[in-house]
Amino acid sequence: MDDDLLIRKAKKGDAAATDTLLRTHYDTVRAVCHRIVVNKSDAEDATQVALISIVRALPKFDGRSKFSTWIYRIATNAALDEVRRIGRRPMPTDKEAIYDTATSDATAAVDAQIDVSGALAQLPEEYRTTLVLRHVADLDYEEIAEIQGVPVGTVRSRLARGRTQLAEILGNQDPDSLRHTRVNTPPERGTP
Amino acid sequence: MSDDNELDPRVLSAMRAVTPASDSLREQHIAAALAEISPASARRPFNTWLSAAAAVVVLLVGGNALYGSLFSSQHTPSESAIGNGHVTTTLPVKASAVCRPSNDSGFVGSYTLNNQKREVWASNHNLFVYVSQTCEQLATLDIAEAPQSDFVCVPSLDSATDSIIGGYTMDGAYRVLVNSPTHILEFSGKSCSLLTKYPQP
Repeated sequence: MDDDLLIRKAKKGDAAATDTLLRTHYDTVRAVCHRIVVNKSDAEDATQVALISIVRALPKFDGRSKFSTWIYRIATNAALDEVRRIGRRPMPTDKEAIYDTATSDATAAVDAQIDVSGALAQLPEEYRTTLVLRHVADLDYEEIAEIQGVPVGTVRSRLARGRTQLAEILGNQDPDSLRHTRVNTPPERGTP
Repeated sequence: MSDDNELDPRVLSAMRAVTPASDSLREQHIAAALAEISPASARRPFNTWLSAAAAVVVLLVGGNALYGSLFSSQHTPSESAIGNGHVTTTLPVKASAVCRPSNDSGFVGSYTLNNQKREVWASNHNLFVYVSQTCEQLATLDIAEAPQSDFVCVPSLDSATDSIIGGYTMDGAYRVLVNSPTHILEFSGKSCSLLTKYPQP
């Protein structure tokens, strides 16, 4: 069954079609929430809220955006709402509070994941969100601009600055020196 | 202007490598979302029910003996529930709520008792129970200690009287609250064992 037909059925309240759509996008919705919210437990809450919001809003989906863009916009908003809700709570500092415990076959990739997650947590929200939409949700600049309500030039600027700061935090991406160091965040320059 | 190639491939790979959700967590998330569809139009696919039933079986094979000792007659053993075809896995649905006790509190869920809708919040080792309509605070309950566990347990319920209120994490332990006529029950851990009973306010 193609996506358009699934969406049409889901909009009418067809649970099977909705179930299929949710399962198709579940991993990415959850990944977006985890990378924006960072704290694992809060990210699961955001995932749940995002999925519920998607189902509630489905009847109003008008097809002006790609369905995936529309879904990831909802996931992004749910994640950002969660970040703001927990805004006064200190960021967890121990790895296990942020991430799943590494399994026994932990690899260098898992180690890198831990540092990347911690580094993402230190980025300003708008840079983190832009990086996540680009590199986790695989959205193009125009789609990210639509979700964030900013010009494409601002998306480019946020990506460039976000990558630079991420690299700085990760010790210039040298796996032998991966460690968290806080960096000062320069004010964002506007747009194109 | 930089392009995507400037992101180290190892960092890119790590960014995308979010640990997958467990089957039970995925089913919980999706089932709770599907619960938003009106019952008249909800036609849940068979494989989802099968997954939920399988999850309940797995959970209860290990915990059945414990349930037998913990549950009174109003809590039906899971095997008989499944045998009767009543696998009523009510899953937590987080809805909008307004009676937040503090900014650092988290919404656990809502339930109805004697036609009164209530909502439960968790904060700073306490549970707060409110009347949804008025936000009158009914009780502050001390949260019980529990071994750390992120396992999302799904307790077996007496569908006639009990309902799941919601899940939350405190002190590294994921917990599930169940509304029963006389108590709020709290479950946690891989065996989904009963941690404590809070008297209904």
